[in-house]
Amino acid sequence: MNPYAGLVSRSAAYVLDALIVAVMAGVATLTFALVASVLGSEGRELARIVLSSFLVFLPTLMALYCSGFWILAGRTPGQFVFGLRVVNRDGRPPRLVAGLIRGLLLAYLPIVALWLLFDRRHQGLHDKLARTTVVRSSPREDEASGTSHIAPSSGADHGSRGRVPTT
Amino acid sequence: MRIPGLLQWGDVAIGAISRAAEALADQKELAERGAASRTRLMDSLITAIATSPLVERVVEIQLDRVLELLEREPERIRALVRGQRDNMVGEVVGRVRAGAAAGDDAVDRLTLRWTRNGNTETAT
Repeated sequence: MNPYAGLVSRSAAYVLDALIVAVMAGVATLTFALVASVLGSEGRELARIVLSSFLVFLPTLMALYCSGFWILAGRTPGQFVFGLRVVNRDGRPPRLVAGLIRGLLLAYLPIVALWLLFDRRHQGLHDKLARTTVVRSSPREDEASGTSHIAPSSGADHGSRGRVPTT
Repeated sequence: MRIPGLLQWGDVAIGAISRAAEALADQKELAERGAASRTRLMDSLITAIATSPLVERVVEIQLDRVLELLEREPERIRALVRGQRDNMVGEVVGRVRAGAAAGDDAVDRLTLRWTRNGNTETAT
């Protein structure tokens, strides 16, 4: 099995994360709107603004959610379900800036991720920029929450796809 | 006289075979009836034993002991339930991961084919 996660696993994990974020944000927004509507006309106006801007801010929430989990744990809950892990060149979770760049690019320009289809290490353009890669983690790694030994490449290696031995 | 005598014996033989077949069929029917009666009897016997005051008392005492044991050592039942739950979750997650990995491989093969075709077309 290829140690680098492919399009299906990553997309499924991202969709799962998006569902989690959407449900949480939806519940929070509705609660806020209900509370604000009790407060009077000003509260109702505020609730209207929050509800209308909900969809605009959803990608930002998604980016923050993903970045937070990547930086702190190296994986989001969706990636945990699918046994994936985001690692930097040292095999550790990405740093603050890399995590934010990755999260924002993926949330606002998800098409950049399609580059992973043609990349040897399944790195999308956001991975190239953040110098990260997504690897599969074994159940033992899941339990130990250790770091992976697969180091991604930082250079352009597209066009030479194939199985890559783990190093 | 000779031929009718032979015929008579033949008829006797056929009659005997026919009666034996009937007896066999009767025996089969009797056996089925007996088996049904035995099952009914066993069921009623088991019910009588299970609902007897003595057995009820024994079960009650044993149940009390088991409940007492579980109360004293709840970790045993907790570990059992936890283990069962973990196994089930692990199995589901394993299946999901295996399915996703198979999907990844399929997409890999597809894109590899596309890129190879593209390369050969460019070369020619």
